[in-house]
Amino acid sequence: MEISSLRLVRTLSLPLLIFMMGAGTSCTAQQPAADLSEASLEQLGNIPVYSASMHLQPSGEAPSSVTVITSDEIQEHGYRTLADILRTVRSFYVTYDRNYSSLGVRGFARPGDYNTRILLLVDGHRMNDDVYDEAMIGTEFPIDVEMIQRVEIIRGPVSSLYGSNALFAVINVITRQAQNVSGLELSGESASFNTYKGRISYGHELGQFKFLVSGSFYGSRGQNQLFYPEFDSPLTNNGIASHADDDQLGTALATLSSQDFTVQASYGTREKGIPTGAYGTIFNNAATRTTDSHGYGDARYDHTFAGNWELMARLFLDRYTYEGTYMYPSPLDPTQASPNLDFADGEWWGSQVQVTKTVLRRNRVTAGVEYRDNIRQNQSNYNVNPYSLELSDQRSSSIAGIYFQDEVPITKSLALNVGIRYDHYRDVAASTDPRVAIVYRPVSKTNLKLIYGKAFRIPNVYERYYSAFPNLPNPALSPEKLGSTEFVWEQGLSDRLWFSTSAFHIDASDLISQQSVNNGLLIYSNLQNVESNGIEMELKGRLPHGFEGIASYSFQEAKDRDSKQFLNDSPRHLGKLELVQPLLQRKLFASLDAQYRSGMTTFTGGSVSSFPIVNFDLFGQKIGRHLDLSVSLYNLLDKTYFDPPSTGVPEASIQQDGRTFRVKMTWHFGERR
Amino acid sequence: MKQRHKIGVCWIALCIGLLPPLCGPQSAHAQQISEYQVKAAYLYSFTKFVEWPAGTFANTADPIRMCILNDRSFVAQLIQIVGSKQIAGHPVLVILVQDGRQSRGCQELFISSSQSQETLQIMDSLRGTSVLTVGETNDFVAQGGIINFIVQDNHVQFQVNQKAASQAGLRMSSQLLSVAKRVFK
Repeated sequence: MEISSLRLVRTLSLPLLIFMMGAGTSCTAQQPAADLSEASLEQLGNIPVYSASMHLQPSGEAPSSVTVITSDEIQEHGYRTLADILRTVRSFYVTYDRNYSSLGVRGFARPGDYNTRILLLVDGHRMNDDVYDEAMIGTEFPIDVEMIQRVEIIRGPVSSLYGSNALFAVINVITRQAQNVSGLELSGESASFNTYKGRISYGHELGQFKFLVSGSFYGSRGQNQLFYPEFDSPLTNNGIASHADDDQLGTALATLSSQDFTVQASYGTREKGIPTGAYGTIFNNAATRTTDSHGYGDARYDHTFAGNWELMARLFLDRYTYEGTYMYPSPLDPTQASPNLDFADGEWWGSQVQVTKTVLRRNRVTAGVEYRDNIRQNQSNYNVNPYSLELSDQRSSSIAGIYFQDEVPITKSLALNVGIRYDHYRDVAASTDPRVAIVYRPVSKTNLKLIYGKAFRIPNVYERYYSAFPNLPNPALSPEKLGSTEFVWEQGLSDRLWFSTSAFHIDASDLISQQSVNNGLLIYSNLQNVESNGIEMELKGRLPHGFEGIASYSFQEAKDRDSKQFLNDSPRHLGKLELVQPLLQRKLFASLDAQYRSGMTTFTGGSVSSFPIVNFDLFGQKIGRHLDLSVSLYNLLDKTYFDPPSTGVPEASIQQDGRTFRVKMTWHFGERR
Repeated sequence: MKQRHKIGVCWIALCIGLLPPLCGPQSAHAQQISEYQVKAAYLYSFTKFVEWPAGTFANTADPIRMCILNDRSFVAQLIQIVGSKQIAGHPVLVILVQDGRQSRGCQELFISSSQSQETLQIMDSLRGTSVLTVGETNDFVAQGGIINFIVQDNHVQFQVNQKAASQAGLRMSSQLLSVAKRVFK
């Protein structure tokens, strides 16, 4: 059964490849194009042409609700991590349990999941690993935020293009290229809690070759003392976790490109102390910690052939490892601590070929095939003293997907976008996910979009097979499924002021959640059927002299369809504000960003209250030509606020940092464009 | 397990085998000229009819930077047109730029319709520079752009905003102005 379906995928992909080969155009077909350069202006005006659609769509035409954040905004607002960037995006919210950051979108954030319902890409390369499916967004994100050129966020399900994990959003991080760095760049920063960071980057263009290398190190002692009232007893240091919040990150990134070829290598490793006494570990023992490392190599070929054929082919290899050290009282001598070690080791390679062709004027057809081979999806766990092996689980799997998308212009103002993807898995049921979008632009500056999409996520090996105490395995888990309908209205009020709003309805079934069974054992089950309804509104404006502002508000109500209860970890109101004022002929930027999150219940039955957070940043650029300087104050009002706990964390809520600062200097040695 | 590896090997072989044959037989479409090939040729030609302020180039070895905002595939088309040509002794460099700040170092900047929502932001950050901005949307001239492409009956024409050009310190040759479909003064 399994073999025959795989054969089916191969049979489907073979003709596609042959079709692509046959359709590839001659290298000499570029000749007439070169001659055009000798034509006079008059001659150019007399050449009859056929129309072709351009390649990147403006967000107005894009068949989805899209947000883009640029490197300018990252610098001006002083964002430190991808999580900092994402918490400013409308209808997104981030919670932090002092180990990993969790992203909620449109009212969905399930405790105990590791951002598995968000697909994270770096330059189109899939970052969710093959053990936990985790999209790492805090300091654990293996790309230095200063190396980001822009972040593109597509809201809503896009499994029709990307397959598993693309349930609530796809986040594509585009990194800086050689031409954005040009020469040597050094950066250093210092921040609250003994935090230091250094980065060295070098970009150079040598004829057709462009290369960029960058490395950075981040180290933070973290808060010297964190107080957790749950542990307020003389036995547990009166609730004070002392020097247990440290955070270290090292990253390396290299990109080499020559014309249509791009090769990228990236590696990031982060070690974080866990101060919360998570998973029943000894409170106030600084040896309890996790280390996550993710590295990959990715080779890509992009080419546009005459006749508007676009080809993209990609080949990649990834490695992800996790090591957790959890300190428990030793069974031999309970006054002594003995480590329990927890490991994950994932390795996968894959390849993708995609071809796009514009036919019949502006009808743009995209077809692609993707294959991923999860070579290793291993998990293990053992106690050190006395030695006892709790878990040793070795897995491997593979995924083959084929997808098709067609952008059909019906009239000048009406366009239809249809897409479908079929994914075959070795040991779970295959999935077919369609998506349909209608984009209507009745008059200039008005975009109306109606989008329907289905998406899915297959259970990961952690959810199915992790069985070290107190977890129970559940190999029979089935994929979770989601359907979403969304209406988007984007309206230009003037050249400088845009208003957009969207209303959505999401139905998710068989959501995988962790639950407690008898004697406190934990198991992942297809538990919930959830529905979320909401609206979002955003106003974006820009004045002639550079003042910019974005304000957004979103209201969402996520409910369990069976119990009719509101979901926990799901705020009903979110508000965001970002303002930038350039000063001194755009040499200095003063910026303010604020986020409001309403209160929400937590999975332990408690709740966390609403709060506003305000951050302020002054960014000076090209001081004496080469220097950029920024001073940031985070949580300016020194607001005391709490995030909900994740599963395994014993506290009812996790207090977040008060007012903190950061000072950053960047020196550009090369020519700056 | 074995089956899986066979498929993997097969897959790699196909992917590698795919690349060279792409320089294969000619397609029917190849002889037709696309709108964007002509636009690319215009972008190249405009630089011959525009004079940048004194001091823009330190010497003739300084390149003329033709920039494209955020569009990889159009960059490829422009490189095909430009090749290794020189204009008045200056080498021509095609550069992909991603935002206004990078665009400040360009001599010419093309903002395609797909990037038109960025136009105002780009114009704001180009204030005080001498960048020849070229666009292709109805309101490009109103937004302060200098040259705007229009497609009429399958022919690519252009409009010139002379006021914006002189504000940027650019001198347009009379030949360019005479070919323009419309000149805004």
